[in-house]
Amino acid sequence: MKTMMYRDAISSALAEEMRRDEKIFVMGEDVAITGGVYKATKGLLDEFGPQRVRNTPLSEWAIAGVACGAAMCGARPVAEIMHVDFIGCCFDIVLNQMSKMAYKTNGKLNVPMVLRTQGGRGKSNGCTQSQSLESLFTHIPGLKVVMPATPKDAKGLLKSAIRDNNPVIFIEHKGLYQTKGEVPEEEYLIPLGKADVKRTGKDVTIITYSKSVLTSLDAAKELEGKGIDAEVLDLRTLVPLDFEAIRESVTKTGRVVIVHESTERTGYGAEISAQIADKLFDELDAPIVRVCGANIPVPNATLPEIESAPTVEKIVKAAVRVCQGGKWNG
Amino acid sequence: MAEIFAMPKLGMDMEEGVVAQWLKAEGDTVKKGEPLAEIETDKSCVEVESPAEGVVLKIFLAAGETAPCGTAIAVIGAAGEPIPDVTAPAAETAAPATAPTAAPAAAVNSDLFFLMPKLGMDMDEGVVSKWLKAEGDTVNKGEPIAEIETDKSVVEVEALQSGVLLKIYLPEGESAPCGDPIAAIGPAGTEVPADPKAAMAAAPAAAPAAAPAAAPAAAVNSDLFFLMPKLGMDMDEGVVSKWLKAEGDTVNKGEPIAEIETDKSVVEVESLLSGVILKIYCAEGESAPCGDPIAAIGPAGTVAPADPKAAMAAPAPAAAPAVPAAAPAAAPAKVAAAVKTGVAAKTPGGRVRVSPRAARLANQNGVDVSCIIGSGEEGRIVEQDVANYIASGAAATATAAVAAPAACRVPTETVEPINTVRKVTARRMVQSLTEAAQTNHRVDVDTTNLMNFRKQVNAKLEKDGIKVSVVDLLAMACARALIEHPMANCYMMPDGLHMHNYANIGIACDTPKGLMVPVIKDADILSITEMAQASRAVINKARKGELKPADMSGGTFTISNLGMFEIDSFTAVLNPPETCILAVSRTQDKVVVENGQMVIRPMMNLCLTYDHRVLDGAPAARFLETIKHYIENPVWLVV
Repeated sequence: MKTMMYRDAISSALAEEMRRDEKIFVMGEDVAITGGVYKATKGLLDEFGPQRVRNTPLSEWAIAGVACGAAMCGARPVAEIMHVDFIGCCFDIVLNQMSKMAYKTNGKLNVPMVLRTQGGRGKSNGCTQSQSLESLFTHIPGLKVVMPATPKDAKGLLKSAIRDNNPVIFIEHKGLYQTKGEVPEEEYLIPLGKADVKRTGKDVTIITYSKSVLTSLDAAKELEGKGIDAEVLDLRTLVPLDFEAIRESVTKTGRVVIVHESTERTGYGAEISAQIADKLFDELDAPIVRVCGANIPVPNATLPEIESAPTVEKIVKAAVRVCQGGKWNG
Repeated sequence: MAEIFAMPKLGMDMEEGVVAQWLKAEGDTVKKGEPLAEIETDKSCVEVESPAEGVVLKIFLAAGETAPCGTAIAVIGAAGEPIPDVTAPAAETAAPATAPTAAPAAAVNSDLFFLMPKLGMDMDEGVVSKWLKAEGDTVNKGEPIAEIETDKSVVEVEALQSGVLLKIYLPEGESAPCGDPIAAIGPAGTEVPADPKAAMAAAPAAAPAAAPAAAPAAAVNSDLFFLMPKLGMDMDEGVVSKWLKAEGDTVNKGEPIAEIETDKSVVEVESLLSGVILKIYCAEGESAPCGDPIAAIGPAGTVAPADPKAAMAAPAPAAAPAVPAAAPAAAPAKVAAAVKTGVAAKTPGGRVRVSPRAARLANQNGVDVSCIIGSGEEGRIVEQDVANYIASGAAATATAAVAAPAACRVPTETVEPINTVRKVTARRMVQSLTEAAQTNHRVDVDTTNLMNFRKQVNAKLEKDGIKVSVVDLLAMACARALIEHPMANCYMMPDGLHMHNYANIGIACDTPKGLMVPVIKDADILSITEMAQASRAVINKARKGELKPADMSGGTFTISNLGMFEIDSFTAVLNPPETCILAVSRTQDKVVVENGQMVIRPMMNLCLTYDHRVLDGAPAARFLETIKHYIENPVWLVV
């Protein structure tokens, strides 16, 4: 094990995979010399050269379109959209081309590409560079959606995403790049569609992903003092969803708090909540409660930006609410 | 030796008496125990027996005169014996009220002070009617020290400590709240405080002040305690009527551990913990609030804290945050005993607010969740509530209920508004029963003639569309009887007896709004047809709820007829300020003896309630006889 930053885990995954398979190449705005705005492709140019580490013009349409076409022709591109907020510029490629090609061609043309991007609050980047738009992608059949929270998960999942023969949307978080974590020194993969219990507990299941995992872990620590033993379940992959992990945890606790930074309204939490209500109704001992981003454009100013996202305080409050009664009474 | 006969004290609050009548005259021979005089108090007139055998030598108090209790009013002795000097009050009176010999124990929490004892549950204060010892006297424990007067009786109370009566704080005739120091008893020469209450208040304060500071309660795993269970929604505390296990006994979870007595029942409760009974905090016969620790149960050798409540109150989770597993584990035990049963919270749609998980557990255990008060959000029943309910043993009822659904019925209590008629009836009935001296006479009357008479009259009146009811005839009978017995027809008012030269008969009617009493005015002078029409009119109005106040006022007598029901006899409550009310029950064929023969007659039971303040038994009997006479001889109603 060694301690590694999230952004270095990304670049190390890319490097390892590029060494393994020469069909893999990286493209995006400023990914080459600068190593990307968040330095997640740093060092790749030196090792793999400009053929495999390509800067692109400021055209998301071009980035996504070229990557999709290259993938259809046998390459395995890892294309970067600098901010997930810019996805609108290439949405037809995402919505109708990369996600549907295998279906349209009856499996003759797969699109083994990864569209790396990042989102989330934390840099006062304003309402067009701080969004969490994962539910746009989870809504589109034909895409896999991955949102790692830790360096280890980021590396293992990115390697799996690159090896997957389907288009994968890999959403990083701008607030996570500089976070550190233990990463195995030996090569490893983390399979897509496998959630991870980041903290075991028996009273309430906090279901979350991406940076909210860290907030939830902080909340769980605070809940300890209130006699509430929270389990933090990191989904890691939204599509495919590891519902078995949810089943196992909720069956144990009977109480659910869902935490994500994206807008609450029709956010991915609504999907999780609906599936739990449907499949685990009899396991529930309390209503399912969501702690999500406010239904407003992300504020620019630092405080409102933080306050419009899930906070430790809000998660604790929600957990206390669902744990009302029973053994916590009196 | 001549015996003085003194004015007896016949009751606690009797201070003087009147000789209503001497039953013996001077010179008469009297036996001990033989009635000697009738003494009148402000409550009653009592025959008093002679305290001795002999001749009534002298009567000091003439009949009709008053004397204070204890005053000599006669002397009994041997014939010719000189009459003793009776200017001094008699030493012993014939007063029957002697103080109980056994003085009830009074709680004393100070060695020095003798406190006003609490001699009865509802005694809040007492009066020292007499000190039996004076300051400076030596008094022994158990020796009578004072006579204490409560609002019920005078009791001789004994000293609870031996010593010298150092100080009397409460003079004779004065009162003090129970528990207040009224005297100081101690070794001779002890200095007594001038303000005993302040001294008492100060004494206990000194000890506990030091204790908590010296030894703050250690945080204790509350799993250790067996708590006073809450066995019903309105149970606030319980009494341990019996411990089924002793200290040192091993007890298993689910095993009966104690019998707990609520104000409703005695329930065997099971231990929620397994282990050794380390300590019993609540002795048999003692009570504790629900949720308070009453025993400590744990592994053998565990030291049970002396002050379990303090130990429980100590913030265990906060004290040990490093061991997170311990904190949540500690919590459930506390609630496990506090199972609430009653009526479960409902959703606006009327469904029991129960989590699916709790519902499933309940279902698996055959528990009816509607009996559980949920502890979750908005009263939602959560899994733990059901688990507690099952653990508490309350589920035994519910399990049985699977076989017999009726047993699992949830007792519900709804509050309905009280309508005006009910309120007025309630107020008037209570007023009636508190203000009047109500008593009853009963009689069975033969209605053969009345029925025949009614049949004939109705046959005659049929063409006019008039029908005479039995009640009409009863009202006529009563009205005539009332005129003949004016005392039965009067009101007793503060300014005197209001006599009436008319009889207005109220007829108690069961209406949709409740009891109404329309009044038939001048019933004594109405003809049969007039009576039938008048009563029909007011009774119809009553049934339709159209009665005006004027229709219900001015009654001088009331008839309450339940003849249409299978009621053999009942008593009615006076309708103030009337003096009488007649309760009429059903007519039944009964075997009666007539001229030595058994014959079958339609008999009707009448019960007259009368106000004894106004009417004595004999006149009331005569009044009822008159009513009976009219009913059995209805021809007099038209004569």
